[in-house]
Amino acid sequence: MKKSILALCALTVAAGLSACGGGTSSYTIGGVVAGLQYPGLVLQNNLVNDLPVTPLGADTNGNIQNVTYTFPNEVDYGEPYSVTVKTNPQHQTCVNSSGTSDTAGRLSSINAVIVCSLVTNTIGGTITGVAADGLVLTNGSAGGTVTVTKDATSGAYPTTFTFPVGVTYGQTYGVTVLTPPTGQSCTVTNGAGTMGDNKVETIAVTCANNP
Amino acid sequence: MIRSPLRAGIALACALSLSACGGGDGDVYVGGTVTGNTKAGLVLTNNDGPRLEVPANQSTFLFPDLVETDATYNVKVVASPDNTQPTTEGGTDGCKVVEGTGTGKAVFSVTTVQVVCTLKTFPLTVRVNGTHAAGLEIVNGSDRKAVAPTDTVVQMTQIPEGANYGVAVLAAPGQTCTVANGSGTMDNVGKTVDLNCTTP
Repeated sequence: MKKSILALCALTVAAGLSACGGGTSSYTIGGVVAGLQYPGLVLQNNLVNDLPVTPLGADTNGNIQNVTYTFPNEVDYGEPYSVTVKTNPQHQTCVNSSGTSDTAGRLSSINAVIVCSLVTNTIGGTITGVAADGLVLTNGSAGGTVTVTKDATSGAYPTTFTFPVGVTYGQTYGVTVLTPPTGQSCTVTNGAGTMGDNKVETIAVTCANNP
Repeated sequence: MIRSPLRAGIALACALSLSACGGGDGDVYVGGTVTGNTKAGLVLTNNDGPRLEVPANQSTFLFPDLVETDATYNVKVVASPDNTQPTTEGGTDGCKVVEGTGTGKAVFSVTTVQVVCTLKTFPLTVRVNGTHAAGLEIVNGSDRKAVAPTDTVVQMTQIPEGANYGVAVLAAPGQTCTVANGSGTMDNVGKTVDLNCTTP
């Protein structure tokens, strides 16, 4: 008799229907999105249930407020759940941080944390006319520098450049010539702008020999 | 018989890992990280002991004297590089130990002391020459400043000595503006660049 109850119980748990000891126990799938600034975020639970999440803006101290979210459907004890980013918000990338994939009931409540940050893109463009060493480009004081050197194998100077430091969405950049190649002068066109959603490849550096 | 090779082994390990087991008679070391020490002059002490000079741009430090397990440690900045900004002029706190990281009990070797140096900054001034109209904006990288039609001088955000700068025109609707000698490296006084505009 006792054995058969145990067996039934085990079967019930294995089937994932309810917990042993009577009554079902279900869990709300939810958590927090940190850093969300722009609309458009859609989260998914178990790759089927969509949940749009709206940013709350900044608090009185200017800090971006965390957004608490809850999926309308619940999961039973012992059922796996996983929260994923289906669609990123505008100008941002969101990633799973903690608690986004687990089995319901392993912890007393589900807190799936998603963290969003502004996209960062590279800036760069073309270089023409370089005939000597020494060209250094800078993006202001904090945006890094590019030193243009001859290719060791071909002996030619590169015709394109990309800054190693990216620029965050909405930030400005301004590429200028910190030092020209020896005996040359250079001008920069399209050197300044505000970062959008895509990388910038249109900065043109043109150098010519000094008269 | 067993003790002496063991002791020799410890001494060797000590010599290899630290290169100096000098005055300390303990077996855990105290150290941490430094940011912003772009110039020589940073000196630290632990428990008011011997001075440890941290060279320019060295991002970690380790006191050569070991402390005993469970001994307390107390790391202090006793001198800062002269390119750092103390709280009051002439002070030594241009570099500071981050609160909560400098003292504690050395249960295991400590590598969590954080020293942060705040660099002195100097003005980057833009002289605005010629006639200019509304909507003019200039940048030094991510530092963006609007130039009002009545402005003859614009101060960019100050930058530390040794930092590069490059002032460029972001927007100049209905006018033509160029920057002369807009790029360079900050000294310990300040730099001025010229923004030359014409409005038809």
